[in-house]
Amino acid sequence: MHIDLNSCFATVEQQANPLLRGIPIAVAAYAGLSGCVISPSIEAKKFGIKVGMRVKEAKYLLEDLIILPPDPPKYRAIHKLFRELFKTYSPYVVPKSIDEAVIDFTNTIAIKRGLYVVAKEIKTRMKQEIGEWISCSIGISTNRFLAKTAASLHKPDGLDIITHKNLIAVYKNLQLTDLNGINRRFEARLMANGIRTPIDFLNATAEMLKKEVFKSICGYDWYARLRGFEVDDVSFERKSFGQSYALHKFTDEIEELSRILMKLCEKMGRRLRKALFYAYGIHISCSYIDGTFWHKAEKSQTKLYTTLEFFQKARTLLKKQPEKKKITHLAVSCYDLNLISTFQLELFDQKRKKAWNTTSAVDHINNRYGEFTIIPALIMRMDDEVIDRVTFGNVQELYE
Amino acid sequence: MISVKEHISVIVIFNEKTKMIMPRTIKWKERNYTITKIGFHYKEQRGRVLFHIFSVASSTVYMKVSLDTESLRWKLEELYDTAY
Repeated sequence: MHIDLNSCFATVEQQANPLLRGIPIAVAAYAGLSGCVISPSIEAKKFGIKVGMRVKEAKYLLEDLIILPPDPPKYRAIHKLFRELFKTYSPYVVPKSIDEAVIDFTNTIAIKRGLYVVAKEIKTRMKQEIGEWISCSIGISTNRFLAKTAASLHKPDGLDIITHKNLIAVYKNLQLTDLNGINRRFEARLMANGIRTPIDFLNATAEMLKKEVFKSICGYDWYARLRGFEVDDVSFERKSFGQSYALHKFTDEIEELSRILMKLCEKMGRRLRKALFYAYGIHISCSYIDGTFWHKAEKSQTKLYTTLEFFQKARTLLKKQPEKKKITHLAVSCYDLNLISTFQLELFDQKRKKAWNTTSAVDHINNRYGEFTIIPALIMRMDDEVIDRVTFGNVQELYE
Repeated sequence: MISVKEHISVIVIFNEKTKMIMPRTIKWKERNYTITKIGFHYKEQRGRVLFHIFSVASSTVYMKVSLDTESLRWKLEELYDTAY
């Protein structure tokens, strides 16, 4: 069963503030005209307002649109309530993002009641136990891919089942890019091999998909996936930590970028240390005002743990940009992770030992009194930048 | 929506039967607001202190208020008035 909250952030805001119910609102990353809409309400969508639109464009479509800033603690609280509700039906609940989850009912008592009945009950309980304005679309099928496809068939407040009996009929009404995992690039690849519709995709042989279209085992996975076999029940261990920021004011000034980089490194470092890792690799990426993109990675000879260590490496990389252009989006990540328990600081490296212990003490204080209680001097007066955001993807850290 | 962040006086109802807690009257800037609905209530950890956050509304005004469980003080976090 795939459950997708309808217009999650906007709906949660309308749940919290009854005066906003039934009227077009949108949650935007920033309330200014250049801010990006991240969640239009169901009412706003009727006016053509979409995720990713600039506030300026959205206001052009609907002048009276109410724009709200995001409130991540509220969305995380709602997400945890949903997860607790879903877990009353099955222990196998996989959050796919802040507003989507998959429930596997294999070997559960709930499956004996019929999943359509269970889905109806989940919808009712969400309204009764979490909020009367909250709605979701639910899809049921034999694998995650088809369950998600079913959940997307009718929005908002849909409930659809895909079985072998209606599979062909469902595929007939979809385009290739309606299939989860098929973007424009994959669509082009499929079309280049004569596959123009989901029905063509379904009719293609496993051999052809494997050898000619995807040129890898992915082809066989798609063959199985389209038919309702589960191939996506795979969990991946953590490989990196990262932070990114879409700049308010685009700049190419290294001093200003350094401040942002420091704050990103501080946030990234805290998450890494909380999970008890250190890293060897550092990676930065920049999106520029002219639409181009640059990135660079480097593996360090020494272990990276403190914010300063990450910052120094990241800034060195940043200075290696081939051209000085105004940056619109900056991201830093660390990779090649190792658990803290697997090593000891070199015996005579007292300076580093002191730095690491200081970092741990600062983390401890920030955990006790609130994030950014103690901060690097470089990021003073940056309260409004690189602020708390909800990730669009993995929410695993909510449970770590 | 206006960010306020000022301490306020609150009359709260605890209902043992429904197991609900509801701010009933909020006094801010010498004006009393009678709350008729709770939109959402959740807990948030800020450092070591647990806060209870209530999103509440009267017929024309929405307020987000927080209770600091350490100091037991209430704060008006943000306000939305349909009159403006």
